[in-house]
Formats: sequence, structure tokens, C-alpha cells
Amino acid sequence: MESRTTFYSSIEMIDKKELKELQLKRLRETVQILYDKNPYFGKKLRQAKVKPSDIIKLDDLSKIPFTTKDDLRINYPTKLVNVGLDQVVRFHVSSGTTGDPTVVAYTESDIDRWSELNARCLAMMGVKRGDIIQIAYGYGLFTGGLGIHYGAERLGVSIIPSSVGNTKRQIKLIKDMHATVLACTPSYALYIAETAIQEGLEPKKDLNLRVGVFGAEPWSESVRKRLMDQLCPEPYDIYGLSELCGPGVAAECSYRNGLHVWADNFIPEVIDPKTGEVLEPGEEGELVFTTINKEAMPLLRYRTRDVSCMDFDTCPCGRTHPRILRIRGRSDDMLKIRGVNVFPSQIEYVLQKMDELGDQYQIVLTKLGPLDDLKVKVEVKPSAVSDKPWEMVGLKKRVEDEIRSVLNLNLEVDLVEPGSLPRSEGKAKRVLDLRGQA
Amino acid sequence: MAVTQISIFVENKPGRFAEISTRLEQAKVKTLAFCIADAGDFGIIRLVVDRPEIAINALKEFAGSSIQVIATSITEKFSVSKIADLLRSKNINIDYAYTSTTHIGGNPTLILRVNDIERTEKALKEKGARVLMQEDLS
Repeated sequence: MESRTTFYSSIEMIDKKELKELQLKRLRETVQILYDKNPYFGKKLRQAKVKPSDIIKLDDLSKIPFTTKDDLRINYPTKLVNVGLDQVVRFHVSSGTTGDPTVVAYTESDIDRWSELNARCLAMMGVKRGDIIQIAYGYGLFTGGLGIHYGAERLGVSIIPSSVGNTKRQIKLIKDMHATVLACTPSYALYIAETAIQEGLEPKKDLNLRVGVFGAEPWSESVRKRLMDQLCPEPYDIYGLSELCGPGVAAECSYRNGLHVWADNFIPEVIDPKTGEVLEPGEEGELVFTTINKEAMPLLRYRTRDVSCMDFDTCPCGRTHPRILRIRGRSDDMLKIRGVNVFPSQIEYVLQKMDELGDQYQIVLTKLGPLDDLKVKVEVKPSAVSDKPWEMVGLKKRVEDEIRSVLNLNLEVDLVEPGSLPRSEGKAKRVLDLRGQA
Repeated sequence: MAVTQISIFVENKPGRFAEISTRLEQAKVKTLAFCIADAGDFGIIRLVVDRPEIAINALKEFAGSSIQVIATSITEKFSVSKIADLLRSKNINIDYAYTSTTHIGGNPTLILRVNDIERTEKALKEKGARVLMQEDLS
């Protein structure tokens, strides 16, 4: 047990039976409130013939209809807000790549609880008073920056609210202020490391970073290894989505065997995305969350489109909250290539395992006649460069073989120059799907 | 012994060689020999220059590496065929070879990538051929 790093241990170590009782109590309250007060969800529940009194045990959750992003879009901007707008102290807005964006509202107590959840996450990663955290997630409409910020403040950590961008200045601040914790997307962390090395620094030696709080996009174990080698010894995954609150829904403890979901605030489920059926622990499917401790915008069975599986076994850290395995990808991100389901993270895993390859890659899909054509562009590192080009052709073939053996798909790998692929400061755009274009 | 060859990875698209030669010129580095080896979508530009460290710095945004190669003067007595024959007699394999773009120390120069650089150097010197050192290039 490592009580040293719990923020609110009585709830983090709560007895499993008590946790279930608490979940049921809060679930019933949430359903009751939405049934009584929310025209949209109230109608949905009635149409599904679910009354609050039908929720007797936790398994009854499966009677409740799902909520999707479309429900949020239809009710744009604030029709789902379940309190008077004068009770709302904050709005966040998530980007709408197609159609309307989605708006999320918070009461004062929602912000308070959200801060606490992020404080728990940071404490679980070993962040404590005396640490200096540089927060390089975007501040503003995006929940990343402010979410972690409030959590760090609650924990009493010194904050450098650098937000995204201006990478050279980020590095200067990390260095000059002796920041010990960096919070940003994993792809931006790689870019920060790359830029620091270009600047002539040896990040592991010249910077003081210990913990990385990396989230907002799926990342693989091989990226973790790279970040450990290049930037900080303890990179952790943190998970959340703006519809539920933002970051702080789940995070890794020092055992890094999945992300603890704060089950006193959210009930996680994994479902078969096609049938909607609830899957057994260990089975992979779509993550679904029900918020049970929110005022302004409670959501019942919200479909995240993120792919993962549940683990209810007790973690050696002593926390009783169940774990989700690291997100494999978003079902939206899943590519169907010649009938095969492919997650970009599977390709990333292969690429980042190979020392000769850089951090940046791009998956390009085109049509070759009626067939999908898969090409993977990846930057090479100087260590890969041989004066004999045929040796580099060998490297290219090796990468192709490795990916082929994972995906069972033919593909071409293009080795490209360092710096030639687009960099991102926020969420990385790794896939270029041109199949829709003639 | 020997001279430094810089090998730079480039994508096979217009302007890459121009970019590299311009950067070297801006850094006031003199290119004494070069050769482009292509492998389809990419290629390797091999360079022998007067000041390799400055060149490497000027090209640090590229992926590159350096190795040692043999640079030997081509003279009346040591023609290309004589040099090749000499190496054959010692059972030394030439991986690849190219020539300088300018006279170095008064002679055109043969750049040789070989499997055993020390034996090559010894074999050439024994017969009286001139083997250049990096200092001879600046």
C-alpha cells in the first residue's frame, strides 16, 4: 500500500461492497433527477419504459438507453443543462469537426469535484506539494489545460500554466523553472523532447522532469518507452473526455496496469458496439460511462467510442476502483482497410519499437483502382542512415514485414526525412484518408 | 588516416540536392567529392568536404552519418586501373568508388569505400601511392 500518494484515501481505498452501494445510491438519484427535471432525458427514459423505481440493483443500469454525441448535438447549445443557467459557472466547448460543437456546463460543485478527481489522478502518479508542474495542454474551450490546472492547484503543486505552443519557450521554462512534472499530449511531449535535443540539450540530464501526465489521445507502450528514454522517467496515462468533465475520469497509478476509473463519480461499462450488449470483464469493446456525481449535465450511459476493456481485480496499489486498459483507439479512428479493422495505434506500436525510426509518422490511405492502398510514412533517425542505400532498403522492408505480421495487410513503408511530417501541439493527426477522393 | 565521408539521407524529390549544396555553400564548406546513390523513393548523398564538422552542423536537420573512406591521388603512375589492380592483388573488395570534383593537392582524387581501410591504406602506401588525410583537404 502506498498511502503516501493518495489524495483522498478513504474514497480511493473504499471497500468494494461499499463502493457498489454508493454507486447504486448515486445512480438512483441521477436517474430520478433526469426523469423528473430533464425534458429530453425524461422523455427518453419514458420511451424506454424505465422508471427510477426500476433501478434496484447496479445491473439495472443496462435497462437505460444510451446517450450519444448526437444527443448532445441535437440539444446544442445548452438544452441538456439540468440546472438553472444562473447556477452554471463554466462552459467548455469541444471542437465539432462535423456539425455543431458540443457544449458542456459545470456548476460550482461540478468544478469542485472535477478538481478533486484531477488532484487524485496527479497524487496517484506521485505528484505532490513541492513539485512544479508545467501544463502544456491548451487552456480555454478545451478541458485539458484548466482541468489539470485546477487539480494541481487543489493538490498544492506549483503551476506553470504555459498552455500549448511556442515549443522553445516551453523548453526554456521547463529548464529554468526546474519543472518536475509535464502535462501535455504524448505527441507534444515527443515533439518537446525532439526540439530540446535539437537545441543541444540532453533532456534526461539537463531537465528536471520526473513525471509526465500524458493524455487526450491514445498512445502505445512503445511511445511510453521513448518518453522514458528521452524525457522523463515516469510517464503516465490520464483519460477523460469533455462530455463527462474533461481529464480526470481515469488515470494510471505507479503500477501502470490500467487506468483507475473514479467509480464513485462514474460507472464504467464496456459494450459490444454493434449490439449494445454489456461485455464481460476482459472483453474488448466500446467504453460507456454514466456520471453519478454531476449537477449541471449528468449523462446516462454515454457512448465514448473509445475501445478498451475492464479489469475489476484489486490493484496492488490498494485502490479499489476498477481499471480500464489503456485505450486502443477510438472506434471512429478505426480504419477499415481492405476489410481489415486497423487501429493507428497498432501501426504506431511497431514503428516506435524500432530505434532507427523517429517519433513522427503518417498513415496515408488512397484508392488503387478498387483497392485500398496503405502507405505508412515514417521519419528516420540519423542512427538509421547508412552510406549504403541498400541497407536502408533493408530497414524499410523490415518495417513493412513487422507491420504486415501484425495487421495481415500488404503495405508500403516510405522512409522520409526528419522534420518533413507535420507536427502537432495538441492532438496529433496521424491519418490521411484520401480514399473518398477520386 | 583516411578522410571523412558524410552520408545524408534524402527523399527522392526535386530540390533536395540543391538544398544541401546551398547550405554547405552558405556555411563556406567546400565540397571536394560527392556522389548520389539512389534507392527508389530515397537516396544517399555522399560528400567529402574540407571541413566535415562545420558541414555536419550545417546539415544537422537532415538525417546523416559519417564514416571514414580512403582518398588517394590519381596520377600517371597510379591510374584508376593500377589502384584497382593493386587492391585486387591484396584481395580487398571495393564497395563503391567515386572521384573528386576538383583537384586535391594537384591531382584528381579517387574516393574508395572498402571493407578493410587499414590494409588498403597500407597497400597503397607501400607502393608509393599518395593517401590523403583529412588535413590535406582543408
